[in-house]
Parts: sequence; structure tokens; C-alpha cells
Amino acid sequence: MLMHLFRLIWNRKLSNLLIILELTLAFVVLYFVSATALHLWSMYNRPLGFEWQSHYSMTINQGAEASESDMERLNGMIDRLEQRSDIDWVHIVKQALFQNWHWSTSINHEGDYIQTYMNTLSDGAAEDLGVTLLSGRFFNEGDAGQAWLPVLINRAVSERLFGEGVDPLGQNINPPSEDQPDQEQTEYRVIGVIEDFRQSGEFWGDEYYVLARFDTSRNDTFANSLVIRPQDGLSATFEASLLQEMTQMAPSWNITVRPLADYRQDRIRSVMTPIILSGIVAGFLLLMVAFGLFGVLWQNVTRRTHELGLRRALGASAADIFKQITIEMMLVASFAIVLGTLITIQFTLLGTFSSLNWMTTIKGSVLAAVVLLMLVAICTLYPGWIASRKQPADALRYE
Amino acid sequence: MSLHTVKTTLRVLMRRKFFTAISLFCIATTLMVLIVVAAIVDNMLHPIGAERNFDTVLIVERVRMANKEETSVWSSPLGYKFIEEFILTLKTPERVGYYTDNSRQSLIDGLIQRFQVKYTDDQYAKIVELDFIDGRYFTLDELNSGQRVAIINEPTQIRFFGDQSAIGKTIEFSEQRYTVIGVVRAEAEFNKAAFSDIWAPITTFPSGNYRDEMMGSFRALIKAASRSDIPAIKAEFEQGLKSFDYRSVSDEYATATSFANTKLERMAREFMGTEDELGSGLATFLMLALLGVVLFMLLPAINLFNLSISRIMERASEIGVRKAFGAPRRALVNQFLLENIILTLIGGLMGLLLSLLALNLIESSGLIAYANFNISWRLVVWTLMITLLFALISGSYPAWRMARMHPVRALKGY
Repeated sequence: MLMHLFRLIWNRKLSNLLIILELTLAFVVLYFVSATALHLWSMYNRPLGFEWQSHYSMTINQGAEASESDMERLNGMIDRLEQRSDIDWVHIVKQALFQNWHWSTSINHEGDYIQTYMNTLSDGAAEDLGVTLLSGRFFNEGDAGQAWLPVLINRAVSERLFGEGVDPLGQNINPPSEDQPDQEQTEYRVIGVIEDFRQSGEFWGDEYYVLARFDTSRNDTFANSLVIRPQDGLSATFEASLLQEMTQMAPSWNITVRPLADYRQDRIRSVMTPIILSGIVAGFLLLMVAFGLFGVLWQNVTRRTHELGLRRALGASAADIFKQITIEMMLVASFAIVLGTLITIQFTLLGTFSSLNWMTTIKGSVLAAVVLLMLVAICTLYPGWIASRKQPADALRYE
Repeated sequence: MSLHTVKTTLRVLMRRKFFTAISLFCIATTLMVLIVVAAIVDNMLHPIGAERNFDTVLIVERVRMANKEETSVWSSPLGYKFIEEFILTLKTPERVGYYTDNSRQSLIDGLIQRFQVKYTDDQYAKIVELDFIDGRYFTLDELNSGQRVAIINEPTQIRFFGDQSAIGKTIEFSEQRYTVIGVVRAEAEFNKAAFSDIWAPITTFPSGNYRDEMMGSFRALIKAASRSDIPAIKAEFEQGLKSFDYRSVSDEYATATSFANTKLERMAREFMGTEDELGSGLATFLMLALLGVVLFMLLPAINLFNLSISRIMERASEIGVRKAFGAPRRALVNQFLLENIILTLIGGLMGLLLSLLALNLIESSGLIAYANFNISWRLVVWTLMITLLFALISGSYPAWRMARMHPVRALKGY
């Protein structure tokens, strides 16, 4: 039966070749849509590692290189904020959350180098942000004045540098030394392992992350970003009164106060807008393919009246004819899927897109294949039904 | 092409409503997507508003500074000192101006409202031709004396004052009060040099620190007297960067790289990520864009090709009759091609209308702030040409194949 169907397909090779070509391209489009969707979905579902829901971000642009007096002024501002009755806590998170501020550096453990993102948090920030601690402890005042700097590493860094199941507590990791050979080398000591800290939000892909301690007692560093947790049920003018108070303390600084939820929304929108737009275009393309396929199949069936009528005359049932048309189309679609997979797999083999790992590739291919087969099946339903209604008499009368 | 042929074609198309509808849908949606993308790009490169004369304007946005060993590299928008040193001293341009974008907050009725503020010099308004509804831009005197005057756009006037005129009233941001002296029409967000909510003299910037920075948040605009002056301006700018002794500014810097770009070059640099590289990658960018269009058109073209074949095969018996009565092959090919062209043109027209609708939708969605798309004649002509190309590609092979068919086979209908 299958061999016979192959022969039927071969007999109409030109028109089938064109359909295969069209379906192959449709498969490639579907594959990229589904692989992107699956990739984003899995990113979205990974835990963020911190809470943001009712927090505010305050960012400062002081215009020039920060001086010691700037840090004193900032400490004064933090004190003032902590005194306010409508604020629970204020912490420094130096690389602002959900924004495009990043600090990337290379660290090594016994000569094994990795490139990682880092952040500096003041004491208490990690606890209050709800960071999940897997082992060890968070920062505290006792960490000041040591020969080493305390850091928290995320699970990915721990597994990469120290191996799975190995406890990295108390181990040292070295910041890069070749940049500043004359500077005194301070080592990072791991005091805890956290689940994750995905600084720039759900769609931020980087795995490695290290948190260092921000020492508010030292005046030689400055922080441009604070996280503020107001009390529940705050008034609508909270933002405004906060801004006014802070601007009065530092009129020349450009201070911004906004809910973290807004920044998160901005990040999500900036990722989703192009995806949704290309999704709409892909949807149009597939709709076009579906309509086109429907038209071509209908026409094919009409032109095969002789053949189908003859089969009916020789005793094939209407269901047989329907099955024949459907399976024929499914075979053609399968060719297209095989061909399409040969194309799409190249992108993974060449590593063109860093987000395309083998898991996403396989899941994306399967999803694309299922959708394409369903699309073809729907387009075959009506032409197949018409074919099954062909009577032997039609074949004889046809002209 | 006689009226009779057109009439016949339309009748043939009407007879097979379903096929015609599918074909038209394919053509119209494909062209709609192309026209929408092309219109957005066209409006970015050839805006109709305040940046309408930017074909003779060069934009300097970034500077890359490095130490001698290239171990420390900084890359950022321009600092004021850089502009003073390298842009304001240029002799070949007609005029030069600069601006810096800042986000500012203002309290209106106790709530925070955010605005984009451009601090500029007075020459800026002679390069960016803002469309004044009321009032004027600030003068050189007002700039030099640091007068707190502001120009705002129409939506900002509404946010501050409702439907009242803002001229002569004061607005407050950065703890400073500004008197409004002009109201302009809003500019689309992607016209980066012209887009802003508020404009103010650079001399009223909250702190004076910016004056000593090589790297900062400034952008410079260089206006050439004519297009032919552009290479000379680029050469002069490059020469200035080369012959400067950076040690006089800071020990850290040994070299500076910066480019004066046209709008197209800037788009290419942004897309290719070559902001700080010598070549703009313009040729590669154009090739990629073309490849993208071809890839996008491939699927609809094959689809239309399939549909054309089906449409023509269906009329096999008609062709058989015509052939039997002695119609030459060329007449048949012409007839089918013409049919295809008419069909595609109708589809193209529908695509144009649909794209107008889609562009309106994008404008009203607020996806791009203050966007106001204009479909230029250049775009319409291009669309027409692409539509015809589409028709010829998808129609020629099926027409040729049908015309070649043996009359007996054609009459039998398979």
C-alpha cells in the first residue's frame, strides 16, 4: 500500500515537489517560532532569585566622577530614608535591578577562569530581597576589615568551579590580576551559595552570578542605585514626596524613583514586542500556506476524478479514498519535515544562536512537526471528503 | 492591452471566486508586511518632520577612547570637551550644533510625570527644523546668559496646562523653574535628534561638571552646505582626531576614534554593532537587508506559484479549444501573464490599503511614541515594481508550461 502511494506521489512529482518545497519553508518558519517560544517560556519559568513585587528603585546620576563627599551625602540620604515611617528598609544594590547596568568580570579558582556577572549589595539586602540561600550565610558587619572580600556565588558558578556536590564554603576565588599587576590583590572568599540572582529579569540569559558586599563605611566607592521597600498600603503621593525630599538634599543630582515592577514591565516589553511582531508575520505566512495548500489540493482532487472514479468502480470504499488522499498528503508533509529538519539542524550544529541548545532544538522540531501535520490534516479534510464523494459515473462522464 | 482583455480577465477571476480570493489574500498580506517594514525604514531614513533636511547632516554619537596599549578601552556618547575640541572647531561645515538627552521628572498635581529633556545650544534649532505652533527657540544671548527658558512639545503642553497655551507660563523640573517660550509639534521617537518633550539651554544644566568631560552624554550634529561637502567634513574631523595630543587631557588616553555618520550609516552601524569600528559595514547591511526580503518573499512566491499552476491547469480545456482554433503560443502566454499581472496589481493595491491600516494601528498603539508615518511616492513606485516582479516570477513558468501543452492533452483535461 505504502509503495503504491509513493508511486502515486512520484507520478505527480512536479506538483508534489512544489508542495514539499512550500511545506519545508513553512516548517523552517514554524521551527523558529516554536523554538523561540519554548526558549522564552523556559527562561520565564526559571526562578528569578529575588523579590520585586512591592519594591521601589531609586537611581542617582550625579554627573561626574564620585567624590568622598558624594558618598557621605548618599549615606545621609539612606539615613533619612530609613527614618521615614512609610519605609521598611533601604539597601544598596549597586547594579540596578531590571536595568541594563552590568558589571562583568573574570574570576578563577586555581587557574580555571570563567566570565561572570557581579553585583555589590549592602548588609541585609540579600535577606530582605528574599534571595534563596542554599548553604553558608549572608553578609554582615563582621565581614569588614578582613584580608579577603566575602562573596556569595550562585549554584551555576559553584558547580562550574568546584564541581557538583562539593561544598565551596571558605574557598577562595581570585578576581583578575593581570589588569592591575601593581595593585594589592584581594581575594574573594565564598561565604555562601545562593540559588540564583537574575539581575536583569526573566529574559536575562546569563547563568553565572556572584554577589559581593558593599561596605557602606568606606568612602572610596559610590553606589548609583538603591532598592527601597515601602510599607504596605502606601499613598499615591509616596513617590513624589520621596523624590522631593531626596532632590532637596542633592539638588545637582538627577534622581529617579520608580517601582521595580515598572522596570520589569519595560524589560519584558522590550523582549516581547519584536517577538510578537515577528510572530504575527509568521502567523500570516502560515495562514497563507494553509489557504494555498487548500486551494492546490482541491484542484488536484478535481483533476484526479478519472483515477478516483476508477478506483471506486473497482470496489474501493469512500473511506478508502479518503484515507488514500490523507495519507498521501501526510507522506508529502513528512518529506518536507525531514528536509526542513536537515536545514534547521545546521543552525544548532554551527551554534549560530547561543539560545539554541539540543533540548530546545528537539522540542522545537517536534512541536513544529506536530503543528505542520495538523495544519496539513485540516487542509486535506475538505478536498479528501470531495474525493471520497466521487462516483464511478463521474469518471466516465468527466470532460 | 485592450479594454476587452481586461474585462475578460476580470470575468475569469470572478468565475473562480475562491481561488481568486486565496491568491489575493496571499499577495495582499505579503505586500502589506513588506510595505509596513519599508515605510518604517523609509520614515527613519527620510523623515518628513523636523529632520527633513538631514540628508546633508552628519551625526556624531559616540567616541571610543583607549590607552596606548589598548588594554583599557572606553566607549560612550560624546563629552562636552570632546565637542569643544573637535566639532566646534571644524571649518568645512555650514554649521554645527549639539544636544544631550536627559530623563527628568516633574510633579503635576502631586504625581510624578516623566519627560525627556534635551539641553542644546542655539545652533541646534537651525539644523533640526522644529515645527513651531507658537513662540520661538532660544537665542544666543539667552544661551550665553543662562536664561531658564524652555520649549515644549504639544503633548507636554497638554500634560502641564490642559488645553491652555503654555507661552509665558513656568514649568518646573530638576528643582528649577523654566519659562516656556515656544511650543512645537511632537516628533517621532526614532528621529533621535529631533525627539524630545522639553528643550532648554545647555547653560542651565544643573551642574557644570560636564564641561570637562571627554566622554559624556552629548551628540553632535554637523550640517553641510551640500551633499558634496560631506567627504571633506569627514576628512577634516578624522584629521583633527589624529593630530590631537590626548595627554593634555588625561594620562589615560592615547587615542580617540569617532565617526560622523549619515542616517543610513548610523542605521547600518547600529544593526551591525560596528559603532566603534572603522568600516560602517554598510555594504554588508544592505546585502543582509536584501537577503532578508528575498527569504521573506520566498514562501509567498512559491505559494503563489503553486496557486497559479492550479488556476491555469483548471482551465486546460479552454486552452485546448483556443489552441485547436489556432491561437499562437505567444498569445496564450501573454494572456496568462496579463491575467496574473492584473490579479497581482489588485492584490498590491489591497496590500497598500492594508498597510495604511496597519501603520495607523501602529501609530495609535503608542508602540513608537509620536510616530506619524508617511507613505512616500518613492515607496509606492517601489511597491509597484516589486508587485510586478512578483507577478512575473509566479506567473511566467505556469503560463509557458500551459502554452506548450499539446492541444489533445489539454482538451482531455489532464
